[in-house]
Amino acid sequence: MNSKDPNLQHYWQQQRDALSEDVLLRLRAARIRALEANPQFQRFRVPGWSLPAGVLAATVLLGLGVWWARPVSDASVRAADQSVIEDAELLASNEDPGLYAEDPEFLAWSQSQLGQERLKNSGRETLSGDSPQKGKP
Amino acid sequence: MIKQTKVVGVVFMDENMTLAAFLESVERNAYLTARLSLQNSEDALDAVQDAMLKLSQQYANRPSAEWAPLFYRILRNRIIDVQRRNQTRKQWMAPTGASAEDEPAFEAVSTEPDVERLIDSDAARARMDEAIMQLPDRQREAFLLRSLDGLDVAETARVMGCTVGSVKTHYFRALQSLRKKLSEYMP
Repeated sequence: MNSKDPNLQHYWQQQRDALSEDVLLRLRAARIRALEANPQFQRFRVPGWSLPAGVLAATVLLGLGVWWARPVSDASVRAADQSVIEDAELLASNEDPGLYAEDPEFLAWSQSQLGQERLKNSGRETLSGDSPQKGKP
Repeated sequence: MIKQTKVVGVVFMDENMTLAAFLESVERNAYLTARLSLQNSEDALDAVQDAMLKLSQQYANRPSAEWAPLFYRILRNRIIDVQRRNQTRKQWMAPTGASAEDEPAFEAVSTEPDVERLIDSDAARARMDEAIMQLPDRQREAFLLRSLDGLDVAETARVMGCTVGSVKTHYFRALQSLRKKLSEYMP
C-alpha cells in the first residue's frame, strides 16, 4: 500500500462520492463566500445601483427601437394600400393578365401613338389661334 | 513555453488555474481530511471554510502552484486549533475522576470484524475510517496529505513544518499501522 495504491485511491474516490448533498452544498457556499471575500474578486463585482440603471437603459433602448420601427407615414401607407387594391381589382377582373404583361414593342408603339396625339392636339391649338387660357374671360 | 501541471488529488492543476477552480478541486478532499482529523462534520466544514477564506483573502495573488501547500497549511493549523479547543473543553467538562483520554475519540466501532463485515464494503470503509482516525496526529497528517490530498513529500514537509525525512518516517509508520489493522480487507 502506497499513496498511489489503486485500492487506496478507490477508497478515497468512494469517500468523495459518498458525501451528502447537504455537505456538498455547504462546501459550495463556503467556496463562494471565500471568493467574495477576495479583494480582486470584489473589484469586478457588479455594484448595487447597476440593476436599476440597466433596466432603465434597456427601457430606453426598447422605446427607441419601437419608435424607429414605427410606420413611416400615412401617405406611403395609403399608396401601398392603393396598389394592393388595384392588384386585387386586376385579379378579380376576367381580363387576361397577359394584357398587362410588360411588352416592349407595345410600349414603344403606345408611346409613339401618344406622341402623335399630342402633336395633333398642339397643331390644332396653333391653327385655331386660341388657347384654353385665352378663351376664358 | 511548457505549461506546468501538477496532480492534486485527482485534479490536474494548471499554472493558470483560477482560484475558484482550485477551491472547487480541493474542497472534497479538504473536507475529508478535516473530518477524519476532527471526527466531526460541523467542525470539519468550519475548518474548510476558514481555510478557504484565509487563502482567498491573503494568498490569492500568489502563483497558483503555491496554493495547494498554502491551503493545506492553513487547514492543518485550523484543525490543530479546533483539536486544542475541543481538548480543553473536554478537560473542563469531564467529571472528576475521568480524564479526557478515557473517553472514546469517536463513536465506538467494534474492532473485531466478523465474517459478515469482511465482505461488506461499507463496513470495510468504516473500518478504514476508524483506522485512520486512530493514527497518531502526525502520522495521520502525513498520510492524508500524501495519499488523499496528493501532495509530494517536500510539500507535505512544508505543510507540516518538518523535514522531508520526518514526513517519510511518519508516512511509513502510518502505512504500516493501517496495513496491520486492515490486513483482512487489503491484501
